[in-house]
Amino acid sequence: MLIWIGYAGNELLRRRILPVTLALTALFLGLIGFVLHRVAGAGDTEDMSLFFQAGTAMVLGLYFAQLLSAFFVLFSTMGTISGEIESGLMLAMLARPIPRWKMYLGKWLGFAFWCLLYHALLFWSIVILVRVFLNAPLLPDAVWKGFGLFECLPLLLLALSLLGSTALPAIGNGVACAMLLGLSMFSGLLENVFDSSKAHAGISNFAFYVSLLMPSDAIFRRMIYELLGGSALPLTPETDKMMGPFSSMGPFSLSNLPSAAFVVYAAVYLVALVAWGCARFQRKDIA
Amino acid sequence: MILETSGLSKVYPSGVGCRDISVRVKQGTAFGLLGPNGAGKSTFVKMIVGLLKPTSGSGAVMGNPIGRTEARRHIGYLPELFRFQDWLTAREVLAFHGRLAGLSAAANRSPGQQRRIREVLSLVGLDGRGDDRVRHFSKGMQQRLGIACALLTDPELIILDEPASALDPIGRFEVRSLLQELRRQGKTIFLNTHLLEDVEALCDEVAFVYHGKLKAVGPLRDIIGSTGRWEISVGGWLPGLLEEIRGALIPGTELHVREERPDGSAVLTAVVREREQVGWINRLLSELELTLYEVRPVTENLEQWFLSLADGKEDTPC
Repeated sequence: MLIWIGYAGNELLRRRILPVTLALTALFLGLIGFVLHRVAGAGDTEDMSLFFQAGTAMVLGLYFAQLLSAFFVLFSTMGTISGEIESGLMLAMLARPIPRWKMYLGKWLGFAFWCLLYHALLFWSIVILVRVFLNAPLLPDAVWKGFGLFECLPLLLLALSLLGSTALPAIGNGVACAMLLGLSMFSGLLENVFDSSKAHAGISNFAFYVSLLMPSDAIFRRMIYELLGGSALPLTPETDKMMGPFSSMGPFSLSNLPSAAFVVYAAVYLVALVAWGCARFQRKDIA
Repeated sequence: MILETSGLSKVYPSGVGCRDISVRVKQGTAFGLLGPNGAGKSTFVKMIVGLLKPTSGSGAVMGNPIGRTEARRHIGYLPELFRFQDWLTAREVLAFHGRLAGLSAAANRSPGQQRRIREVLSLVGLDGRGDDRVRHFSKGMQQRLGIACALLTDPELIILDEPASALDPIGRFEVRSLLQELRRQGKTIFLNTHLLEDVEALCDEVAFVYHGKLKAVGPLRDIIGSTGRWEISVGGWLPGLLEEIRGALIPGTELHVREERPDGSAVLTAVVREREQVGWINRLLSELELTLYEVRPVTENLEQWFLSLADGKEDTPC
């Protein structure tokens, strides 16, 4: 496994993907820090409204952080298999005495390591900024649960991107994965905006089927719910009331939460995507 | 046999590929695979190294079915249109391939393996360039690195797909010399090439693939000597003897006078189907009390043979 972590790290570093990403991430975090600083300066840190502002800032920050991370994952991996076959990189590698599924898994693990690191950097930076500037009362258990779910997001996208690259050319795969991710986010927002009153079953069903295909937005919503300490609350209509202002955060509201069973589904889906990719790559003709 | 294939076929949906290729490569020999562009040579090679799954047929490398990791363990492969990770240095590329070949991290860092990396870089003329990134290498230098990579694990079977394609004349000469040296060391070389001079200089046996089919296979000398024509130099030749001899020839054989000289000598051309028929003609000439100076098969050069097969003028049985 170490060989693939080193291989992916070398590629990300020497092709300047990592330095550029880190520089722009610093800018993004700086902007969030600036906004939080201004918000904190405008009110009393003991004020309850600041607590809700902190929650909103954190949700927004993490929402766009996962977008940044998605770009990082997609652009670094959309041509991992097909691109390397087209360019001839794979030819000498695959003639070596290593099973293809191990190579596929190694590539996934190698990129996953760096994506998880980057995602962790984003998550903890935002959480610490919110905690420092707004003195948000975050529960350690809730933060760790949220962190665990936040780390699932790049793994899902990476598994999908790598699987797609066994079948589609780099650009085609990038477009397909970005569209799926966009669809997932869009359906999640639709559900939050139009279905908070449970009056539009069609929208809810649409969002559910999309989340089966790309569960990232559903996992994100569950992550926010956990992060804000909501797991102690029952998933009933009363939850809305108990979550107070967070249930009415418009497109980011927590009114439509995926169940714990859905989180299990996402984990199984992730494993299935990786296994499917291994099997496809094992059988693929390298012409 | 270090490599053996039986009816190996790969047929793409478009219909192209290669069909029913059976070859046997002996250990310690150099085998050349010839054919024009698009003949199916690279398809065949890719099946041997496990990049393509055969549609039908089978093959084995040192007794291990082709495509399996056990078979690939014995192969060093230089692909035709390849690229290395341009963000790595030449030494890092070789170290990476060492790991892919099954070396542990510790073994890959060992002085012995580092020495081997220096050795193969030196063999291909890349001394002192090991710490340069591949990005800064010319196409020819990348080709040399590819050959170094194929030799890294000191494999029993070295498969080279157009090894001299990106090299200048000096580079080609150096690669040919390197391959000759490897052959002297007892390595088995499977050469897929357009360069007939490489095949002539290096290969013991050749196979000719055309439109995906094997047209001829065998020792080079036999193949390019298999025109069926013999040249016979005789003394004591008299005009009119030709008709007398022709009357006694075995059906299917022909005899022509190519040259008559004033001193009574002549050069005859015999066209036969079997070598034994030349013996019969010799006997006839001896019975007529002619002096036999020389009897030799007429051979083509490889280029003539290649062109005649590609034109379909000749269909040598496999």
